[in-house]
Amino acid sequence: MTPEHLDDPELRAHTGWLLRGGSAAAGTLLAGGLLQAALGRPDSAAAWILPGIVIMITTPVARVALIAAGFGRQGRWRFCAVSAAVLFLLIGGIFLGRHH
Amino acid sequence: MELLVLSLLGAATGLLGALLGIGGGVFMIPMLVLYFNTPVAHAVGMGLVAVIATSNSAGSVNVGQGTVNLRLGMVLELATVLGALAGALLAGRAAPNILIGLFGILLAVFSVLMWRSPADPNDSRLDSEPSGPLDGEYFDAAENRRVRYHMKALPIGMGVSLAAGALSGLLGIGGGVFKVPVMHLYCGIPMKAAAATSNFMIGVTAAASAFLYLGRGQIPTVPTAAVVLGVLVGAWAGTTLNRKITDRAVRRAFSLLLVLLSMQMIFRAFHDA
Repeated sequence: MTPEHLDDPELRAHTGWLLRGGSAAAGTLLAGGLLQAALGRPDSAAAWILPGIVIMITTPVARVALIAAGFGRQGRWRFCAVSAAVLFLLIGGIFLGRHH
Repeated sequence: MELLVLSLLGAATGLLGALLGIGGGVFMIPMLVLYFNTPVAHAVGMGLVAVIATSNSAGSVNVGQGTVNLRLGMVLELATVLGALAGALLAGRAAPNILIGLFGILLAVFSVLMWRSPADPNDSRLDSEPSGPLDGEYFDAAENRRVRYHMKALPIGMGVSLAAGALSGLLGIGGGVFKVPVMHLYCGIPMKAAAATSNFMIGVTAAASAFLYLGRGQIPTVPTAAVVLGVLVGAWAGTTLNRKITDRAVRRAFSLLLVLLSMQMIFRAFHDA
Protein backbone atom coordinates (compact mmCIF):
# COMPACT_ATOMS: atom_id res chain seq x y z
CA MET A 1 0.00 0.00 0.00
CA THR A 2 1.45 3.35 -1.04
CA PRO A 3 1.80 5.80 1.90
CA GLU A 4 -0.82 8.58 1.91
CA HIS A 5 1.77 11.28 1.19
CA LEU A 6 3.18 9.54 -1.89
CA ASP A 7 2.02 8.91 -5.42
CA ASP A 8 1.86 5.27 -6.47
CA PRO A 9 5.07 4.40 -8.41
CA GLU A 10 3.11 2.17 -10.80
CA LEU A 11 0.68 5.02 -11.58
CA ARG A 12 3.61 7.37 -12.16
CA ALA A 13 5.22 4.85 -14.51
CA HIS A 14 2.00 4.34 -16.49
CA THR A 15 1.47 8.09 -16.75
CA GLY A 16 5.01 8.53 -18.03
CA TRP A 17 4.48 5.88 -20.69
CA LEU A 18 1.21 7.51 -21.79
CA LEU A 19 2.90 10.89 -22.18
CA ARG A 20 5.83 9.43 -24.10
CA GLY A 21 3.49 7.47 -26.37
CA GLY A 22 1.25 10.47 -27.05
CA SER A 23 4.21 12.73 -27.80
CA ALA A 24 5.81 10.15 -30.10
CA ALA A 25 2.60 9.46 -32.05
CA ALA A 26 1.78 13.15 -32.44
CA GLY A 27 5.37 14.02 -33.33
CA THR A 28 5.46 11.35 -36.03
CA LEU A 29 2.25 12.62 -37.64
CA LEU A 30 3.39 16.24 -37.48
CA ALA A 31 6.75 15.37 -39.05
CA GLY A 32 4.95 13.43 -41.80
CA GLY A 33 2.71 16.43 -42.42
CA LEU A 34 5.64 18.80 -42.68
CA LEU A 35 7.25 16.45 -45.20
CA GLN A 36 4.06 16.53 -47.27
CA ALA A 37 4.03 20.33 -47.07
CA ALA A 38 7.65 20.43 -48.24
CA LEU A 39 6.66 18.25 -51.21
CA GLY A 40 3.96 20.78 -52.14
CA ARG A 41 0.94 18.72 -51.07
CA PRO A 42 -1.00 21.04 -48.75
CA ASP A 43 -4.14 18.87 -48.54
CA SER A 44 -2.14 15.78 -47.66
CA ALA A 45 -0.12 17.81 -45.13
CA ALA A 46 -3.27 18.88 -43.33
CA ALA A 47 -4.53 15.27 -43.32
CA TRP A 48 -1.38 14.26 -41.41
CA ILE A 49 -1.04 17.26 -39.15
CA LEU A 50 -4.61 17.62 -37.91
CA PRO A 51 -4.69 14.11 -36.31
CA GLY A 52 -1.27 14.87 -34.82
CA ILE A 53 -2.59 18.05 -33.20
CA VAL A 54 -5.68 16.20 -31.96
CA ILE A 55 -3.52 13.44 -30.41
CA MET A 56 -1.26 16.05 -28.82
CA ILE A 57 -4.12 17.94 -27.16
CA THR A 58 -6.01 14.75 -26.28
CA THR A 59 -3.03 13.24 -24.44
CA PRO A 60 -3.51 15.41 -21.32
CA VAL A 61 -7.18 14.38 -21.25
CA ALA A 62 -6.18 10.71 -21.43
CA ARG A 63 -3.65 11.42 -18.69
CA VAL A 64 -6.35 12.73 -16.37
CA ALA A 65 -8.54 9.69 -17.11
CA LEU A 66 -5.62 7.37 -16.34
CA ILE A 67 -4.86 9.16 -13.08
CA ALA A 68 -8.55 9.10 -12.04
CA ALA A 69 -8.68 5.36 -12.73
CA GLY A 70 -5.40 4.84 -10.87
CA PHE A 71 -6.62 6.67 -7.77
CA GLY A 72 -9.86 4.67 -7.93
CA ARG A 73 -7.95 1.39 -8.18
CA GLN A 74 -6.01 2.35 -5.04
CA GLY A 75 -9.20 3.28 -3.18
CA ARG A 76 -8.13 6.93 -2.85
CA TRP A 77 -11.63 8.13 -3.57
CA ARG A 78 -11.17 11.83 -2.79
CA PHE A 79 -8.44 12.15 -5.41
CA CYS A 80 -10.38 9.91 -7.78
CA ALA A 81 -13.40 12.25 -7.49
CA VAL A 82 -11.29 15.38 -8.00
CA SER A 83 -9.60 13.85 -11.08
CA ALA A 84 -12.98 12.74 -12.44
CA ALA A 85 -14.31 16.29 -12.01
CA VAL A 86 -11.32 17.67 -13.95
CA LEU A 87 -11.99 15.09 -16.67
CA PHE A 88 -15.67 16.09 -16.79
CA LEU A 89 -14.71 19.76 -17.26
CA LEU A 90 -12.19 18.88 -19.96
CA ILE A 91 -14.80 16.90 -21.88
CA GLY A 92 -17.12 19.90 -21.42
CA GLY A 93 -14.41 22.01 -23.08
CA ILE A 94 -14.25 19.61 -26.01
CA PHE A 95 -18.04 19.82 -26.41
CA LEU A 96 -17.88 23.63 -26.29
CA GLY A 97 -15.09 23.57 -28.88
CA ARG A 98 -17.23 21.62 -31.31
CA HIS A 99 -20.31 23.77 -30.87
CA HIS A 100 -18.94 27.22 -30.03
CA MET B 1 12.90 28.85 -44.33
CA GLU B 2 10.13 30.35 -42.21
CA LEU B 3 9.17 26.86 -41.01
CA LEU B 4 12.75 26.24 -39.88
CA VAL B 5 12.76 29.49 -37.93
CA LEU B 6 9.41 28.54 -36.38
CA SER B 7 10.88 25.19 -35.31
CA LEU B 8 13.86 26.97 -33.75
CA LEU B 9 11.46 29.31 -31.95
CA GLY B 10 9.57 26.24 -30.72
CA ALA B 11 12.79 24.59 -29.56
CA ALA B 12 13.83 27.70 -27.62
CA THR B 13 10.34 27.91 -26.12
CA GLY B 14 10.31 24.24 -25.14
CA LEU B 15 13.80 24.51 -23.65
CA LEU B 16 12.99 27.55 -21.52
CA GLY B 17 9.54 26.25 -20.65
CA ALA B 18 10.82 22.89 -19.43
CA LEU B 19 13.71 24.55 -17.54
CA LEU B 20 11.50 27.05 -15.72
CA GLY B 21 8.39 24.98 -15.14
CA ILE B 22 6.28 27.11 -17.47
CA GLY B 23 4.69 26.21 -20.79
CA GLY B 24 6.63 28.76 -22.79
CA GLY B 25 3.59 30.29 -24.48
CA VAL B 26 4.33 33.55 -22.72
CA PHE B 27 7.59 33.67 -24.66
CA MET B 28 6.40 32.30 -28.00
CA ILE B 29 3.08 34.06 -28.63
CA PRO B 30 4.50 37.62 -28.63
CA MET B 31 7.24 36.47 -31.01
CA LEU B 32 4.65 34.98 -33.38
CA VAL B 33 2.62 38.19 -33.33
CA LEU B 34 5.51 40.63 -33.54
CA TYR B 35 7.91 38.90 -35.91
CA PHE B 36 5.78 36.47 -37.95
CA ASN B 37 2.69 38.71 -38.26
CA THR B 38 0.54 35.85 -37.01
CA PRO B 39 -3.00 36.95 -36.08
CA VAL B 40 -3.31 37.06 -32.30
CA ALA B 41 -6.02 34.38 -32.15
CA HIS B 42 -3.90 32.00 -34.28
CA ALA B 43 -0.81 32.75 -32.19
CA VAL B 44 -2.77 31.94 -29.05
CA GLY B 45 -4.02 28.67 -30.60
CA MET B 46 -0.47 27.72 -31.61
CA GLY B 47 0.76 28.72 -28.15
CA LEU B 48 -1.74 26.41 -26.47
CA VAL B 49 -0.58 23.43 -28.54
CA ALA B 50 3.04 24.36 -27.79
CA VAL B 51 2.26 24.53 -24.06
CA ILE B 52 0.69 21.06 -24.24
CA ALA B 53 3.69 19.69 -26.13
CA THR B 54 6.06 21.12 -23.49
CA SER B 55 3.95 19.64 -20.69
CA ASN B 56 3.70 16.21 -22.34
CA SER B 57 7.41 16.04 -23.09
CA ALA B 58 8.68 17.40 -19.76
CA GLY B 59 6.02 15.51 -17.79
CA SER B 60 7.01 12.18 -19.33
CA VAL B 61 10.41 12.58 -17.63
CA ASN B 62 9.41 14.42 -14.43
CA VAL B 63 6.57 12.10 -13.44
CA GLY B 64 8.88 9.10 -13.50
CA GLN B 65 11.39 10.90 -11.28
CA GLY B 66 8.74 11.65 -8.66
CA THR B 67 9.08 15.45 -8.74
CA VAL B 68 5.49 15.75 -10.01
CA ASN B 69 2.95 15.63 -7.16
CA LEU B 70 -0.03 14.02 -8.92
CA ARG B 71 -2.47 14.58 -6.02
CA LEU B 72 -1.61 18.26 -5.62
CA GLY B 73 -1.65 18.72 -9.39
CA MET B 74 -5.16 17.29 -9.72
CA VAL B 75 -6.57 19.35 -6.81
CA LEU B 76 -5.16 22.63 -8.15
CA GLU B 77 -6.14 21.63 -11.68
CA LEU B 78 -9.80 21.56 -10.72
CA ALA B 79 -9.71 25.34 -10.12
CA THR B 80 -7.46 25.96 -13.10
CA VAL B 81 -9.65 24.20 -15.67
CA LEU B 82 -12.72 26.13 -14.50
CA GLY B 83 -10.81 29.38 -15.04
CA ALA B 84 -9.46 28.22 -18.41
CA LEU B 85 -12.91 27.47 -19.82
CA ALA B 86 -14.19 30.88 -18.71
CA GLY B 87 -11.13 32.62 -20.17
CA ALA B 88 -11.36 30.85 -23.53
CA LEU B 89 -15.04 31.72 -23.89
CA LEU B 90 -14.24 35.37 -23.16
CA ALA B 91 -11.28 35.40 -25.58
CA GLY B 92 -13.53 34.67 -28.56
CA ARG B 93 -15.23 38.00 -27.92
CA ALA B 94 -12.18 40.08 -27.04
CA ALA B 95 -10.59 42.60 -29.45
CA PRO B 96 -7.02 41.81 -30.64
CA ASN B 97 -5.65 45.12 -29.35
CA ILE B 98 -6.99 44.39 -25.89
CA LEU B 99 -5.29 40.97 -25.94
CA ILE B 100 -2.01 42.51 -27.09
CA GLY B 101 -2.18 45.19 -24.40
CA LEU B 102 -3.03 42.60 -21.74
CA PHE B 103 -0.09 40.53 -22.87
CA GLY B 104 2.27 43.48 -22.65
CA ILE B 105 1.20 44.31 -19.11
CA LEU B 106 1.36 40.63 -18.19
CA LEU B 107 4.90 40.29 -19.51
CA ALA B 108 6.02 43.26 -17.41
CA VAL B 109 4.59 41.54 -14.33
CA PHE B 110 6.22 38.26 -15.30
CA SER B 111 9.62 39.91 -15.69
CA VAL B 112 9.44 41.23 -12.11
CA LEU B 113 8.23 37.85 -10.79
CA MET B 114 11.02 35.99 -12.51
CA TRP B 115 13.72 38.51 -11.52
CA ARG B 116 12.66 38.32 -7.89
CA SER B 117 12.32 34.54 -7.76
CA PRO B 118 14.69 32.97 -5.20
CA ALA B 119 18.32 32.65 -6.22
CA ASP B 120 18.54 29.40 -4.30
CA PRO B 121 15.79 27.18 -5.67
CA ASN B 122 15.73 25.12 -2.47
CA ASP B 123 15.62 27.91 0.11
CA SER B 124 12.01 27.24 1.14
CA ARG B 125 12.33 23.47 1.35
CA LEU B 126 10.78 21.86 4.41
CA ASP B 127 12.22 18.68 5.79
CA SER B 128 9.45 17.81 8.28
CA GLU B 129 7.95 14.35 8.08
CA PRO B 130 5.12 14.45 5.53
CA SER B 131 1.72 13.40 6.83
CA GLY B 132 -0.91 15.40 4.94
CA PRO B 133 -2.78 14.15 1.88
CA LEU B 134 -1.04 16.68 -0.41
CA ASP B 135 2.47 16.37 1.05
CA GLY B 136 5.18 14.75 -0.96
CA GLU B 137 8.75 13.65 -1.34
CA TYR B 138 11.23 12.94 -4.11
CA PHE B 139 14.87 12.12 -4.59
CA ASP B 140 17.01 15.09 -5.64
CA ALA B 141 19.85 13.66 -7.72
CA ALA B 142 21.77 16.96 -7.73
CA GLU B 143 21.89 16.98 -3.91
CA ASN B 144 21.92 13.20 -3.57
CA ARG B 145 19.23 13.31 -0.89
CA ARG B 146 15.52 12.70 -0.39
CA VAL B 147 13.44 15.90 -0.09
CA ARG B 148 10.22 15.86 1.94
CA TYR B 149 7.74 18.73 2.03
CA HIS B 150 4.41 19.80 3.54
CA MET B 151 1.73 21.52 1.44
CA LYS B 152 0.24 24.60 3.16
CA ALA B 153 -2.06 27.53 2.23
CA LEU B 154 -4.24 25.46 -0.11
CA PRO B 155 -6.86 28.28 -0.56
CA ILE B 156 -4.15 30.60 -1.92
CA GLY B 157 -2.99 27.87 -4.29
CA MET B 158 -6.56 27.28 -5.45
CA GLY B 159 -7.23 31.01 -5.96
CA VAL B 160 -4.10 31.57 -7.99
CA SER B 161 -4.82 28.42 -9.99
CA LEU B 162 -8.27 29.78 -10.89
CA ALA B 163 -6.77 33.09 -12.04
CA ALA B 164 -3.96 31.35 -13.92
CA GLY B 165 -6.53 29.19 -15.70
CA ALA B 166 -8.50 32.25 -16.80
CA LEU B 167 -5.33 33.83 -18.16
CA SER B 168 -4.51 30.61 -19.97
CA GLY B 169 -7.85 30.55 -21.76
CA LEU B 170 -7.70 34.27 -22.49
CA LEU B 171 -4.11 34.54 -23.64
CA GLY B 172 -3.03 31.02 -24.61
CA ILE B 173 -0.38 30.64 -21.94
CA GLY B 174 -0.05 27.87 -19.38
CA GLY B 175 -0.18 30.12 -16.32
CA GLY B 176 2.91 28.49 -14.85
CA VAL B 177 4.62 31.83 -14.31
CA PHE B 178 1.99 32.57 -11.68
CA LYS B 179 1.60 29.10 -10.22
CA VAL B 180 5.26 28.19 -9.72
CA PRO B 181 6.17 31.24 -7.56
CA VAL B 182 2.99 30.92 -5.50
CA MET B 183 3.40 27.18 -4.94
CA HIS B 184 7.00 27.75 -3.94
CA LEU B 185 6.74 30.96 -1.89
CA TYR B 186 3.34 30.52 -0.21
CA CYS B 187 2.52 26.80 -0.30
CA GLY B 188 5.91 25.47 0.83
CA ILE B 189 6.52 23.33 -2.23
CA PRO B 190 10.24 22.96 -3.14
CA MET B 191 11.08 24.74 -6.38
CA LYS B 192 11.80 21.57 -8.34
CA ALA B 193 8.51 19.97 -7.29
CA ALA B 194 6.59 23.21 -7.90
CA ALA B 195 8.06 23.57 -11.38
CA ALA B 196 7.49 19.92 -12.29
CA THR B 197 3.92 19.86 -10.92
CA SER B 198 3.10 23.15 -12.65
CA ASN B 199 4.55 21.87 -15.91
CA PHE B 200 2.42 18.75 -15.54
CA MET B 201 -0.73 20.80 -14.89
CA ILE B 202 -0.35 23.36 -17.67
CA GLY B 203 -0.84 20.72 -20.34
CA VAL B 204 -4.25 19.86 -18.89
CA THR B 205 -5.13 23.56 -18.50
CA ALA B 206 -4.15 24.34 -22.07
CA ALA B 207 -6.08 21.31 -23.39
CA ALA B 208 -9.30 22.73 -21.94
CA SER B 209 -8.85 25.85 -24.08
CA ALA B 210 -7.13 24.25 -27.09
CA PHE B 211 -10.26 22.37 -28.12
CA LEU B 212 -12.12 25.69 -28.26
CA TYR B 213 -9.47 27.20 -30.54
CA LEU B 214 -9.39 24.04 -32.68
CA GLY B 215 -13.17 24.21 -33.02
CA ARG B 216 -12.91 27.84 -34.17
CA GLY B 217 -10.26 26.93 -36.78
CA GLN B 218 -7.65 29.06 -35.01
CA ILE B 219 -4.83 26.50 -34.99
CA PRO B 220 -3.05 26.75 -38.38
CA THR B 221 -1.76 23.28 -39.27
CA VAL B 222 1.65 23.63 -40.97
CA PRO B 223 3.11 26.43 -38.79
CA THR B 224 1.84 24.64 -35.67
CA ALA B 225 3.51 21.38 -36.75
CA ALA B 226 6.81 23.21 -37.23
CA VAL B 227 6.58 24.88 -33.83
CA VAL B 228 5.52 21.73 -31.96
CA LEU B 229 8.30 19.56 -33.39
CA GLY B 230 10.77 22.18 -32.18
CA VAL B 231 9.07 22.29 -28.79
CA LEU B 232 9.36 18.51 -28.33
CA VAL B 233 13.11 18.61 -28.96
CA GLY B 234 13.61 21.73 -26.81
CA ALA B 235 11.55 20.41 -23.89
CA TRP B 236 13.48 17.14 -23.87
CA ALA B 237 16.75 19.11 -23.77
CA GLY B 238 15.33 21.39 -21.07
CA THR B 239 14.40 18.55 -18.72
CA THR B 240 17.86 17.03 -19.22
CA LEU B 241 19.58 20.34 -18.49
CA ASN B 242 17.32 21.03 -15.51
CA ARG B 243 18.99 18.27 -13.52
CA LYS B 244 22.50 19.58 -14.20
CA ILE B 245 22.58 23.39 -14.06
CA THR B 246 21.31 26.18 -11.85
CA ASP B 247 18.54 28.13 -13.50
CA ARG B 248 19.20 31.48 -11.80
CA ALA B 249 21.14 33.00 -14.70
CA VAL B 250 18.67 31.67 -17.26
CA ARG B 251 15.70 33.11 -15.37
CA ARG B 252 17.30 36.54 -15.04
CA ALA B 253 18.21 36.66 -18.73
CA PHE B 254 14.67 35.60 -19.58
CA SER B 255 13.34 38.32 -17.30
CA LEU B 256 15.22 40.98 -19.28
CA LEU B 257 13.88 39.53 -22.51
CA LEU B 258 10.33 39.76 -21.17
CA VAL B 259 10.84 43.43 -20.33
CA LEU B 260 11.75 44.15 -23.94
CA LEU B 261 8.86 42.10 -25.29
CA SER B 262 6.36 43.72 -22.93
CA MET B 263 7.43 47.20 -24.03
CA GLN B 264 6.98 46.23 -27.67
CA MET B 265 3.56 44.69 -27.08
CA ILE B 266 2.25 47.65 -25.08
CA PHE B 267 3.55 50.05 -27.73
CA ARG B 268 1.83 48.05 -30.47
CA ALA B 269 -1.45 47.89 -28.55
CA PHE B 270 -1.55 51.68 -28.22
CA HIS B 271 -0.17 52.30 -31.71
CA ASP B 272 -2.79 50.10 -33.45
CA ALA B 273 -5.67 51.23 -31.27
